Amino acid sequence: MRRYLEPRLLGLHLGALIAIVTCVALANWQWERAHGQNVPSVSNASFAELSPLRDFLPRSSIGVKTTVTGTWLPKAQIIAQERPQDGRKLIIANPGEPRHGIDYELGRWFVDVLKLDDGSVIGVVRGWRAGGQLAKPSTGRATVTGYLQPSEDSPDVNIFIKSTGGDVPLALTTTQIVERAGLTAHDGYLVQATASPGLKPVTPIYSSAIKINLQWQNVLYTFNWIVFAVIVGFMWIRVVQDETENKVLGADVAQ
Amino acid sequence: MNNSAQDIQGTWTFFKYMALIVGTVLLALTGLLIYVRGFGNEKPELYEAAWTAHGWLFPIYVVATFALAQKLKWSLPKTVLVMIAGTVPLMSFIAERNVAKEINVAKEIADIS
Repeated sequence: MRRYLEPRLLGLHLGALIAIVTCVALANWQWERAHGQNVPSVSNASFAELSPLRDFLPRSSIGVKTTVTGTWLPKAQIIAQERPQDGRKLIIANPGEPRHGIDYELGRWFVDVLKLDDGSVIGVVRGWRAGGQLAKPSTGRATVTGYLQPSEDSPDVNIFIKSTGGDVPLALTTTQIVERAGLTAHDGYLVQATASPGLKPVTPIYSSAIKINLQWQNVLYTFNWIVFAVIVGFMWIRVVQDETENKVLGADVAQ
Repeated sequence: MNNSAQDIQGTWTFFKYMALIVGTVLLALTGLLIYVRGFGNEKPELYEAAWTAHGWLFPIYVVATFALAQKLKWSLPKTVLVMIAGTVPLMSFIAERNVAKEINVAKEIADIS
């Protein structure tokens, strides 16, 4: 045992251990990336932390309940057409599968824009209603509690909204909110936890971080790093064997 | 040719082909990288596949290098340098040429003895 712990071999041991630990850490990192978990999940965080201005809504913030205070901009109301009350029904379970019909009652989501005290805005889905009757835009100051949702044009979002004609944009996007309000908007939107009077509550499309499909590229990289760790371990053993054997042989010759 | 020369021959052939393959793939990757990053083109379908290919060919090259290093009794720093050559465009070709010279010398010595 002692011949393996000679001072000249300690550097080799240290180097090998660092290399193996690094490979394993990188394998772990790629494995997490393969499952789309590269962002730690947060909760109980403030709105500003959950939804950083001038940045995309982090995956970990999706579906998180948060509270904001501000003033309504009644002229910026957006009406999202052809919507179910339960937003989850918009999700395409199997990408590529054609959708022929819809199995829900069509209605509208009434989206009002709330201007926060820092001058930025966020879109708020206040509720759903079937039929032709519109909802009056909200006015005045309000504190809103709701669930954060990604902009519907972000690459992770995979939803289908059946168009019944007309040239009304169907997806609810940050761009749309910016255009309507003329101010910097937080990415995505909020779905009010309790609907405004006269409207029914909307179930958010995503209740938690979007489950993204397994990324095969990253799975392959994971195995790559494991293979590297094994190779380093193998080389380490071989080099240590050689070094210690040479030493013993050398000693024999010297005697 | 005696036994030890034949022994080295197989390991050398394995290393030679791996060095050439890794070098070629790396050159293709460099070209793709310039094409995508330098000229702002869309990633071609081959792009990800080429990276994955390099990710798997490089460990084999590392094993081949180590096997040869054991046969030729290389020092550890030299072994590691030849391994790293597999990650630098064109370097694996240069490494392969240098090792080829060494092999020829080793073969001559083996043939004489």
